[in-house]
Amino acid sequence: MEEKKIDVKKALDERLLTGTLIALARKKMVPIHKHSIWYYMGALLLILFMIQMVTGPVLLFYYKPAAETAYQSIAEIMVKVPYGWLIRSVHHWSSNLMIMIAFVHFFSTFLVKAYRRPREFTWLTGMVMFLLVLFLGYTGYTLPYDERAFFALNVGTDMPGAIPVVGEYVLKFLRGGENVGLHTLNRFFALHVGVLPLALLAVLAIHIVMVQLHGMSIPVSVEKKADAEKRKIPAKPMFPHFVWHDAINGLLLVGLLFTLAVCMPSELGPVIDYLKPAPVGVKPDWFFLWVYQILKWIPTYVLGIEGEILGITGLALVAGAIFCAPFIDWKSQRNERSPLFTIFGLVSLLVFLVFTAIGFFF
Amino acid sequence: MRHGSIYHMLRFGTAIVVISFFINGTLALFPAHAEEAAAVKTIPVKEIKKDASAGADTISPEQVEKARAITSERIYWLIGLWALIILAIILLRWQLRDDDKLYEEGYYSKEL
Repeated sequence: MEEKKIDVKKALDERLLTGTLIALARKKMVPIHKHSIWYYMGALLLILFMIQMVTGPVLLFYYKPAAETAYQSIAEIMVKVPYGWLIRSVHHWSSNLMIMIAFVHFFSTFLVKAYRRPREFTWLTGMVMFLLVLFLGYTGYTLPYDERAFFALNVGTDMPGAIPVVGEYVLKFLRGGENVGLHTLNRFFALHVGVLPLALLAVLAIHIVMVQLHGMSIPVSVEKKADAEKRKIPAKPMFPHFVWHDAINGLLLVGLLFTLAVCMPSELGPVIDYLKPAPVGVKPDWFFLWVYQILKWIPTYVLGIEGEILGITGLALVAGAIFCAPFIDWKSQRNERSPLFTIFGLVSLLVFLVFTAIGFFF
Repeated sequence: MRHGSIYHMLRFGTAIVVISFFINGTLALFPAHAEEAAAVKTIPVKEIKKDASAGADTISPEQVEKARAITSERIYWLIGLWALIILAIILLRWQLRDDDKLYEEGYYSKEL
């Protein structure tokens, strides 16, 4: 009988288009210039997201999402589950680092005007992911259902209530009623482990495909300089060069993550006492401190308008302008320098840093 | 506004008002929640506390704090992890050096 040889590579290529995918990965070139360091942020975020996707389900094995059991189940994870304290701490710190790097990624891409044509939709998907990551961080913060989480639920769900038109509906939807009650934790749990990660995965897939298809954005200043000097911008292939760099950065990040998890394991606050009034100086998690501080400083009424409504509307307008940057920054779209948007980005960065610091230390 | 005229602004304003009414009306059709959740103050606090603290399995805050303590074993483990990370980085750097050499020799394209 004639022996048949099976060509595994060919068979896989035929069925899974592996050859096409490898060719696509090899095709992408990464430009080398003084701003190239910002290109590493996306990969770091991806690594942290993968860590979250591994540690999250492990915590789910033991977490009991009900107002009566959530706190004790977290205590059990910390004390009784083998390496439970480590898994929870890695999950906690990776989410914090993810939000921190997401802020760096957001500000760096905004300042180098990476949203320019043809990357408008890459920018929009990035912004959606940024919001999802922030909301994931907030919902995760409330799940231990300790005293801090309880007041964070109260303060955090109160804020959308000030949004014009849809505010009250959003507030009731998030709380499962008028007040923070038994249904609120279930809703936040469903959002944290179901809705938000799935949405993030879907948008992430689109984002990665778009980055792969369009390649890395080059800052206008670098392009102009190269044009003036009549030279081409040097580039290295994404695979293998930048993948090795990403791997090195990822290893350092994992080292930092475990160092934080071992040296500063995540806390569990006091049990909720529903009769106790909100403690003085209760604050949201660090990534919403700037919003909290801005709203705190706005007077109760400004020109007859409620201060909180005014503040939230103002912040929403700024967020809207950032979201729509590719469509309103016409100068960048024409590949010209747009100092107005650079100043806007720098002022936003300064406001974020200063108000977060004030909220943290005072 | 780029094509700034009162007509455009009026049209924009009317659109916002109509959309607001539409959203408000649509949301009124769909309830935000099934039934009114119990208000926080009316949750039987003592019962919840009693349930939470009942039984031999209840974990005290002191036990949680003990689980968070930095022990010498954990530090040794961390040192071991860093040693592995550094070793892996050295190997990756060697690989990267080889690839950079290929790049300099023109194996890969050098420009965009």
